[in-house]
Parts: sequence; C-alpha cells; structure tokens
Amino acid sequence: MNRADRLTEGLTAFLVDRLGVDAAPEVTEVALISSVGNARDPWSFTATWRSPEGNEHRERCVMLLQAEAGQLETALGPEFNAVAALEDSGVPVARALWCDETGDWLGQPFFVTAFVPGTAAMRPLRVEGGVPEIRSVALDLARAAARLHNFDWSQTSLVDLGVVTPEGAALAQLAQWEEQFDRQRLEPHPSLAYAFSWLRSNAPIASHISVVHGDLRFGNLLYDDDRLTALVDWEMVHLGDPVEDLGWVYRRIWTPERSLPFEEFLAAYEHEAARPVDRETLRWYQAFSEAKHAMISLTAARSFFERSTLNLRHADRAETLPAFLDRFYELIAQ
Amino acid sequence: MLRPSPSDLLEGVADALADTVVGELERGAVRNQVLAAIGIVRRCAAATEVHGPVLYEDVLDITESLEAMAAADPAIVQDQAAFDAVQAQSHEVMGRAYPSVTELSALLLELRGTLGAVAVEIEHGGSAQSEALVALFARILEREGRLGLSPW
Repeated sequence: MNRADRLTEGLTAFLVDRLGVDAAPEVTEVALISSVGNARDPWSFTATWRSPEGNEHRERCVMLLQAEAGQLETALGPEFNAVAALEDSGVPVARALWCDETGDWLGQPFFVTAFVPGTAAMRPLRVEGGVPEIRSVALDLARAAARLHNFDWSQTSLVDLGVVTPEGAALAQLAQWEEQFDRQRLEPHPSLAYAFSWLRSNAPIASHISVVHGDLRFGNLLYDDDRLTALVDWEMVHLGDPVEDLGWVYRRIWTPERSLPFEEFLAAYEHEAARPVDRETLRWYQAFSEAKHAMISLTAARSFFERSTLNLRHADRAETLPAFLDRFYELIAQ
Repeated sequence: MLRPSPSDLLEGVADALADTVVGELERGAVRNQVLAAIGIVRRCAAATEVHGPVLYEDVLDITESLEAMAAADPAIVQDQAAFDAVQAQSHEVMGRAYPSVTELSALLLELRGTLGAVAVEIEHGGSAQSEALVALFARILEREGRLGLSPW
C-alpha cells in the first residue's frame, strides 16, 4: 500500500468519525501537491458524502499535513482556527473544513480546507519591467492585508492566539525570536546578537493590535490570472502590530517591487485601511524581519545538523545570514 | 597532486548530477533533494578555495578590532580575564607560520563569542564604539558572503 492509499484509508475513517456512517463518505483522487513549502505537506483529494437530508456533497479539498521538523515547528490548531475565523471577513482564505490535531488518524496532525484555484508561482516577480497581472495581485494583497488588519478579532476564537498590548507587541515577537536565537544557533553570531539588542532598545509601540499573518508575502498566496484568490500558510499567525506584516511583505527575496513599487503598495493599503503607516515603525519591522528570517534559517540549519530533518533544503540555510544581516544594517543606518 | 583540485572535482560532480540525473527525475521530493544537494556541492566548491584565507582575515580583523575598541572604551569588556585569554590565544595562533584551518575555526568561535558579549555591552551602554563595531560587522559579513553563493 503506497502513501496515497494509506491517506485515502485514513481520511475515509476520519470522515466517517466526523460525519457519521450514514453520510457514507468517500475519498478519492488523493495526490501530493508539488510544493516548496517546508512546515506542511500539501495534498489534494476529493471528498463525497451525503447530508442528513440525503443531499449528495462533492468537495475538492486540500489537506495540509504537519511536516517533520524543519525551519519552524508550529501547531496546526491555531492556523486552522485563524482560517476558520476569517471566513466571512473579506480576507481571501480557503474555507476551513476539518482539523485533526491528534495525529491519530493519519499518523500526523492535519487540517483540510476547500480547494482554491490559483498558483503561487514566484517566477513572474523577477521579470524585468514588471508584469501587469502581478501588479494587480499585489494591489489585491495590499487591500487584503488592510482588511485583515482591520478585522475585529476580539469577539472571535482568535483571542486564543494570545492577547498583547500595543506597548508589548513588538517586544513579544522579539522575545520569541531571541529565545530561538539562544536555543538554535550553532555559533555565537555576534552581528545577530547585536541586532536583537538594537531591536529591543528601539522597539516601537503599536497603533493598534490586529491579526498578523506572520508570513504575508508572494509565495504564501494563490493567484489566478490577475486576482488574488487566497492567502495561505497561516502557521505564524498571531496578534500583534499590523505593521509587522508590512515589514515582511516586500523583503528582497520575494518582493513584487518590479511590478508594483512599495510606496504604491503602501498607498493602496493605507487607503483601504483608512489608517496611515508610521514609517519609523515600518523601518523597525523591516529590520526585525531580517533578524526573524535569519532565525528561521538558523532553525532550519540546526534541524538538519541534528538530523531531525533530512531535507537538504535546510542543510545549508545558514548561508543566507550574511545577506539578511547586511540588509538589517543597511536599514538601521537609514 | 594538484589537478583536479577539490574545487574542480566538486564543480564537476555538480555539473554531472545536473546534466545526467536531474532530467531523469519527476518533480517532487526526490528531485528537490537532488537539486538541493547540487546547490550545496557548488557552494562547497566555491568555498573550498577561499575558506582558509577568509578565516585568517577574520581572526586578524576581529582580534585587532576588539583590542582597539576595548582600549578606547574599557567599559565594554565585562569579563576582562576571559577577554585577555582569548586575545592571548589569538596572538599565539596567529604568531605561527601556518595556522591550520581547524585552529583558525576554533579560535574564531572563541573570538566571535567574545565579540558577541562586547557588542551587546556596546549597544546597551550606548558606547561610542558602535560605529567601529558596525563597520567590523560589515567586513565580517562581506567575508562570509565570499564563502557563499546565496542569491539572497
């Protein structure tokens, strides 16, 4: 029995448990989705079942399985809950269907959403002179980010993400990544130690607390032609300063700058959010983003070093640090 | 035996895998592993040529910079005995005609540990040495960049 067959069997049993024997659920067309993501293994499948009223349902689904140790280890529950809570918010997300955090059914925790058409292709970002479709998607992204950051989370299950104060939002994120630094580094990295110290001394106060995607960028969204169809990869979702997402979204390695200059992106965001973005706070979060990505890379490198993953994409990730830290020092010199 | 050099061999291995293996593999996890391995082999091919000189330069630069910064602002050194010990070790290793890469690596870890502690003191204390420190970081990062092929 191959992996797809085992997943078919496990998913069918899971759906019988969730929907009942009378629903007669069936799972077909289980297939691995080609992905360069690291924290989740994405699979597609089709589920059919009968409602209590006797209606036939057919749903094309995407399942995200918790991957082995890698660059980040995050629980699936908060990610699934965030996607579910945002369903009618105006933020483009896939419809959340089912979640199993126990790992009892497939050997690993997983959650399932409805299939959303689109691609996450990054190649068009690098086209000299820009691409009109990417420009349009980037503007959609600016508006989606604004809607996410204006979403009233206080009356939803998102409070479980951990409420922070405006004064503590930046420091909470910093503490989380600095703790990772102490735990994951394989050598002293003095330039990163200084970076964390500088960030702590200069931490901004948030204008308000919002849902923060945590990894908002091209590569973590789906687009179909010139329209953004869904924001995906919510594994770093948390409550915090909305500017955090803006400090991440145009980093050099995934920037759509060639198709839409950052200032135009910010203008679209500010218009939709009806709130200005403080440029000093933005610069702090841009610098923070370089330190954060440096830490993601070091975590990946350590996972391979300890053989908790054998994914070779993680093996040499420490190589990325000079570029990220160069950028950090460029930003704080401005 | 000088030719082919380790760098030539590694580059050749990467070329051979890219030309003869990758095309045979379907998209997916196995192909991704091979592509990542090819990237690492190429990185090692490039780094092999410059690894020793970069370590040597780094040790020299950090040793001299730490000395200069500590002389200008002694308050940035919290543990003077440890600081002096690392400096003495550095002078001893660098005084040899041909320090090995292993010796340089071990020494560099010590020096960078000391530099990390000094850096945090400089930042916390608002020392005037921050400019010299950031300039040192820029040189270190430039040298580290020479060991990599990262497009980022």
